[in-house]
Amino acid sequence: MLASDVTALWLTIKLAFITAAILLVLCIPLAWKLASYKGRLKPILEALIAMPLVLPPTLMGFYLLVLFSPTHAFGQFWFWLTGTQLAFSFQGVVIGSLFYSLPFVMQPLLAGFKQINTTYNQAAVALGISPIKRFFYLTLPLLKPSIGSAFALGFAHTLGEFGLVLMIGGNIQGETQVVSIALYDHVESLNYGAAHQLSLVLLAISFACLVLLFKFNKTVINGDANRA
Amino acid sequence: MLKLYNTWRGYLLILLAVLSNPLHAKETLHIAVASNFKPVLQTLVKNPALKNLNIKISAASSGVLHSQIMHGAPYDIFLSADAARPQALIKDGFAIKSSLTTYAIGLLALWQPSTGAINNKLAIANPRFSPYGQSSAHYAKNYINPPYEFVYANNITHAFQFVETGNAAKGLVALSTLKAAYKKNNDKKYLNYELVPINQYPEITQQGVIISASRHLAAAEQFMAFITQPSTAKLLQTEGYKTKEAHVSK
Repeated sequence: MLASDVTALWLTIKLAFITAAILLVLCIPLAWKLASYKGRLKPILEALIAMPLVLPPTLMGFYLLVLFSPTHAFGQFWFWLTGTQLAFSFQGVVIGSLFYSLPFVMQPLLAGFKQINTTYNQAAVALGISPIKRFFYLTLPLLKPSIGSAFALGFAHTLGEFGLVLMIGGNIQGETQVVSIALYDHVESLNYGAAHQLSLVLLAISFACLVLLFKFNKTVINGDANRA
Repeated sequence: MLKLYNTWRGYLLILLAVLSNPLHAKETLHIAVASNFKPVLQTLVKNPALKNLNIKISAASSGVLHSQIMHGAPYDIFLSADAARPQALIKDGFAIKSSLTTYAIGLLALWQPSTGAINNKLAIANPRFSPYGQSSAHYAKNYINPPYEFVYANNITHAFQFVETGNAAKGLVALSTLKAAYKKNNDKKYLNYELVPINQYPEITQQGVIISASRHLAAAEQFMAFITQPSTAKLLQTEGYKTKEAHVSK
């Protein structure tokens, strides 16, 4: 494999790891609230979360490109904050990935919270245990498989990210050239040998991710109700 | 009525209705075009000289179209953004050798919409697979003073977007894109460019071919004759391309 491909591979793994970790931190409290929320806005909130599933990644990429622009308020704010520009940078790609993989982290968490929030929680409420204590001593431990799935799905989905990075990335080695972009680069420049090699490695990693996911979290993926 | 749809006579009637559609009175021509040339082609096909043809346009990058044709895509004509791909198709027997035509020559412009430089990023099309990108990289390395930092776009239009959205301070873009954008939006920022001298970068020869598998050869030949005739060449020049005729006369 080419040295640039190894760089791209590491960059992708780093991106997937960071994205999945940030999303977990953001989504756990959000899913916790949303699972017990029964207001009128619920379908709207759920639709918003599921949007990245149906939107073309290039569309999200294009609007992020506009948002990141130094002529836009958000782009200006970021520049003031960090002194760097978001487009063509690793941070920019991370922000894009957060949108791109959001539903994949959110859905398993929501499903997990929905199951837990019923009987166990009611019993704990009846025993007079405080909400904070309930969250850390009851909900989180019961949620472990869901958290594992959420992380693994978020990670695996980010590995294959393409259209969004293509739009905002600028194909810079070690910064924004992820595996899918490197692959595209090989195919477009008719370098099929390198493309095959890189595909094989990506395939193996994705497969291993999913095997681990199914091995340890069968219940969450298959939606079996009788667990814990 | 409902039963009609479930019988073979029903299907026959539907088939007849479709076949008798007046659109099919014209001969259909399916043109695969490199994205950068699509806006111009859309103007060209409205020309009365082509009113006997029903032209369908598929736009993508030349690389994508090339590989689609190799896998049997039903195109009649391929208008590529380069010379290598049409010639490769001829070599592999997918295109007709005698039909090879240089229909346009791409022109580069260095575009910097605002004078206050926001960064040192220079957007160019990826030189690894874009002919515009190869010419851009050649020019940038030899004639643009550092400091600048390349950002590689997927194609020449995408490079334009990097500059347009303000994420790159300047970029090497196609003159035709700037002209089209100015025509559409009438914004003065599209005029803040310098035309890159044509002797300072490898020529961007855009060639077209007729696909061997085409079943509309006469129509395809009619179109190829149209795209190289002097009046079309004149129009292409106003749209930001150079043509062979102009090259000869100058």
